[in-house]
Formats: sequence, structure tokens, C-alpha cells
Amino acid sequence: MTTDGPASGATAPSEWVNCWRCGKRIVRAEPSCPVCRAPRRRQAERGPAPEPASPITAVTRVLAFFGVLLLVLIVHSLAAQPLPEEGLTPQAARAHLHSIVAFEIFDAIVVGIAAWAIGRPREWRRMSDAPGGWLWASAVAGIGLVLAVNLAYHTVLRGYIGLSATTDPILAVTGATPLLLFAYCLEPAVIEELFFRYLALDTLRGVMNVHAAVAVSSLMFGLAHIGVPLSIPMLALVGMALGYARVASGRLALPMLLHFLHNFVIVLLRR
Amino acid sequence: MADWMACPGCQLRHTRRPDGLCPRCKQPVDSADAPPMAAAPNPPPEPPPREGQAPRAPYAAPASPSAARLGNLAQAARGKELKSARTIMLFVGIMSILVNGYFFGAAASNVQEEIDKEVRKLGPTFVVDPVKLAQVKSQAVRSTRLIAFGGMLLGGVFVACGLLVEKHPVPMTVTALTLYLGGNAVFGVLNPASLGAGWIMKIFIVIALFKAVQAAFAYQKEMAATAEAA
Repeated sequence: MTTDGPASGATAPSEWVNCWRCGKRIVRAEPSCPVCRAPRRRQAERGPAPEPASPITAVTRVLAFFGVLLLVLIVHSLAAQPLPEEGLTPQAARAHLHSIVAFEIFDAIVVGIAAWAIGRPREWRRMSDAPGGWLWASAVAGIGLVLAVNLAYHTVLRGYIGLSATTDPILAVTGATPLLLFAYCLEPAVIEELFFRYLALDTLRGVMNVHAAVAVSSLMFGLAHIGVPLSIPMLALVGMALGYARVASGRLALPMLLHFLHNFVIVLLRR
Repeated sequence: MADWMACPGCQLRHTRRPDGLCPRCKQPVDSADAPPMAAAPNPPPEPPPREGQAPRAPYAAPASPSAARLGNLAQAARGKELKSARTIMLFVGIMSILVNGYFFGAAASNVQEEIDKEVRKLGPTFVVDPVKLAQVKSQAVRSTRLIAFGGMLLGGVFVACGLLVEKHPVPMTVTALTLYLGGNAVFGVLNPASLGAGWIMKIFIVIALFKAVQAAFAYQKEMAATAEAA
């Protein structure tokens, strides 16, 4: 029983406790919090949940840090030397890769500061009651479908503009080295998910419904890829898939895995 | 006269019920540690509801006339900020549609102009392959048209946000601010000269949209409280 739900009978004040995770008032005898499913064992051990920051302050901070991230991306795009279409030397490719890694480390620091400034968003109950294994398997199949749509979109786009299928110039020279996999697959999967699917999505859910929050956070995710403007609509769609994976599973590990797989397949295809 | 009391369990302030229980937590409230609040001099008792009028929720609306007037003033101020945000969104949206519509239409001539400039830079001795040049021009024109079409779509979304801001204030203001920041970043990377153009106006719009987000949140909260009271 929570303060939001229908009351079924009289309960003495001493029987009420605040859930250690979501802060809702619940009856002490409940085996777990009916809202967030936090187990009772820990309900007794911990005191009341700390007062969360005002949701509007958190949303304003999310938007401000989104602006900072865009600024960092603009500076990186303007500072980066354009890659030659042909004749990229291994030294130049490695130097470019190192600059990407340095920028991504800086990006990670910005996201870390954002996490500190925004604070821990409220935890949300997972939307789907499907078994975990089934959910993860269907999510991987779903990202395969999104990947297929992504490839079709870019094929149509290249056909319209009149470009032939391209390989990534750095990837073509250096190959799939661990540093490249870190820069192209691992770092975006962890840092971008932390910002867009954890800080942004969970904060936005506090002030709008879940579908609007997923849509706005995926729009942010798409717009953060300013280096590839024609891919932004498709990336926003990928962001929606990852957002729903986060909402359905209630965990960040699933969208991180899907993001990693998506980028890894793109790297394999662009070799 | 309504007999007000506070529940000792959940602190809900409510009128005395015939069963003597709190309407929220069903806790008995007629105990010695929960004296009725009707005897308190402040706030003054409310007049009984008229026939056909539902009693006002005690926690949703301000009790005193001065507090109600303040609430109305604050709501009016927020409504005004939302209207300003709506005007800004419609302005940015329509301008974006018009400007990108122009670039969409004039893509071929603009690209030709840029190509001529580049060829002139290379000097009269440089021989241009006409087949390659035609291919490059075609690609550039199509890319420009795609980007301009994207800009027009962005303008359309701004207009939609402006039209829907009163119905869904928070999602629309947050979307508009996100799109404005992201759109400027994208066009800034495509054409760095556009970053500095009209920067005072851009800062003004960003601040206004930030304020609109805050106003929208407060507006939505009060609308929800009013709906709950009704």
C-alpha cells in the first residue's frame, strides 16, 4: 500500500515507512515496495530516502549540459583536421584516432560533471513484466531490425546524392585495433547511454510522460551527432529504440549492450 | 460551517467525515492528539459550497482570498511567458521554413556560384574535367537540398511546438529548446560563419526558451492541481 494507491484499511502511523529507493510511504509489512519493488530487508535497514532535487532544476541542468556537450562537439569538429579522401598515411590516421580518443575522454569528463551537477535521478520501475531473458533476446533482435533500417536509409541517401559505398578512412588504414574499438564502440556505448538514457531520460520522466521523455531524449541523442547531419533522423530513431530498451528493462546495461552491438556491426561493415 | 482537521497519520487536512476516518489513509482522526482545526483563528472558515458545486480540495487551492489572488497573478505571469515562448517558436519556425525554402529553391545557382569561385581560384591554366565537375555539382546540389529540406522540417516542428505549447507546455518547450540548440550546432558545423551571425538574438531566444521551460513546469503543476480540485 502506498500513499498514492487506494487505501484498504486503517494502519497505525508506526507501521508506515518510507521506501529507501523511491521515497514513497509504504506499509512496513509489505514484502517489497509495490512501486519500485525494492526488497523489505533493506527498507528496515535504511532511513527515509533523501529529498530529491526539484525536477525542473534537474531538467534545466540536463538541457544546460546538453548545450555544453554540443559546444564541445562544435569545437572538436572545427578543430579537427579534415581527412584526405585518398592517400591517408598510417601516421596521420593514428594521429586522427588519438585526437578522437582525447576528445572522447574530455566528453566523458563533461558527462561526469553533469552526473554530479544533475544528481541521481529518481529510479523508475521497469515498464515490461516480461522475463529478463526474453526481453534481452527480443531487444537484440530489435536492434538488428533498427540496424537493417539504418543501412537501408543510408543506401537510399547515398543513391539520391550519388555517392558510392564508403569505408571509414581511419578504419581502412589502422584496422579494427583495440583503441579504435574503444573510440567507436565502447566509449559511446557507456558515456552516451549514461547521459541520454540515464541522466536525460530518467530526469525528463519526472516532468512528462514516458513516451514524450523517450522522444525528447532520442532527439537530443540524434542532434548530438552533429558531425553526420544527414544521419541525424536515423540516429534519433536508434535513440528511441535504445530509450524503450532502457524503459522496458529498467536497467542501463541493456541499452549499453545494444549501442555497443550497433556500433560494432557498423565498424565491421565499414572496414 | 466546515469542520477542518489534520490526520495524525498522513497530515492530510480535510473536513470531518461521518465515519471519523481520514479519506486518504483511513486512520481514525477523532483522537485526543488530533484536535479539529475549526477552532484555529487562521485560516478563516470557508463558506459552504453552493448547490451543484463540488467542495474544494483543501490541499489544492489557496485558502485565503489574498493567496488566491497571488496564485492567479503567478498563473497569469506564467501564461504570459508561455505566450512569449509560443511567439518565439512560431517566429523561429516560420523563419526557418522561409530561409531553408529559399536555399532549397536556389541550391543549383548557389552551388554553381561556389564552383565558379573555386575554379577562378585555381587559375586560368587549370583544366577542369567537365564530367567530374557535373558529377560534383549534382552531388552538391542534392546534398544542399537535403539539408535545406531538413531545415524546413525543423521549422515545421517548431511551428507545431508553438501551436501545442498550451496543451502540452513542458514537452513542447523542452523539445523547442533542444531543437534550437541542436539545430544551431548542426548548421554551425556545416557553415562555421553562421555560428556568430545574430548571436545576440540567439542568446535572447535561448534565455527566453529556458525561462519558458521553467514557466511551463509551474503552469503544468498548477493546472494539474486545479484539475484535481475540480
